[in-house]
Amino acid sequence: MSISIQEADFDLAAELDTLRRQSKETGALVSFTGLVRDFSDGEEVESIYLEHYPGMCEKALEKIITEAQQRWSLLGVRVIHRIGQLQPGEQIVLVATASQHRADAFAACEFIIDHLKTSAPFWKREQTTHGTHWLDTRESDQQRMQRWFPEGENQ
Amino acid sequence: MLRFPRLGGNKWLDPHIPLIVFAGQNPCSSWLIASDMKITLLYFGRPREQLATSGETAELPADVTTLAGLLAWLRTRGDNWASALADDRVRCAVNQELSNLSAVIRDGDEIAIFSPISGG
Repeated sequence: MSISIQEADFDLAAELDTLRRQSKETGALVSFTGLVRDFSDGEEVESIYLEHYPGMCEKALEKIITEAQQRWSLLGVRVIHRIGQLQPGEQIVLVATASQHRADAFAACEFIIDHLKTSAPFWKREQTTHGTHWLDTRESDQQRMQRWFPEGENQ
Repeated sequence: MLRFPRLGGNKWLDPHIPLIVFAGQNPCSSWLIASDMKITLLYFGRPREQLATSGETAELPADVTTLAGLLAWLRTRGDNWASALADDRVRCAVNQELSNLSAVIRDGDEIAIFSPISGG
């Protein structure tokens, strides 16, 4: 598992290449890249600002990845989350997973990004043509996360 | 840190009244409301911006033992605090673990108060 929280951009191809080379058993690589949209709730987004809780963020991501490793058979996981000022079109987050067969890599990648959205302490402030505002957790993100926890199962 | 005795209910004494004493140096310390609990407070996201502070250390009154109590106490600091820390606007972590408002606070805890998480 490898986690980075950084201001700098990342090279998707280089990251996947590194992950691919970690094990000769790897038969599947899946990645999700989150980008800054230029529209949010009908308003034009000029930029976003991302802040995080140093220490807790790394711990939360480790916990999420560890849980993914317990649920699925994974050969490697790479997570990068950017912080600071970002412009529309820029990359925000990368989740990449490697496994022998695609089902594990697909499921684990989706699980990690769904979980990250609701429990890793990052905050986004949008600068739109109407001013700045902090975003709340989206209801749809909460629902996506809940799908991984059948009723009664503790998160 | 200065602590102010309290007269019943939730009404704080005017801090300008010279009734100020230091806990631990006063033989009547049981009469004071200050506890021995000292915590680190961190603010992130919307409350950090609205309160224009990213953190502080605080000594808690003896009757503040949970996150809900801590928020209620912080809200007495003024209108800006009351609005920044309204129940439906903040989430908390105790020692870097997301926690609900009934969580108990212990001496030395690192408590973070923030707006709902919105990364990714």
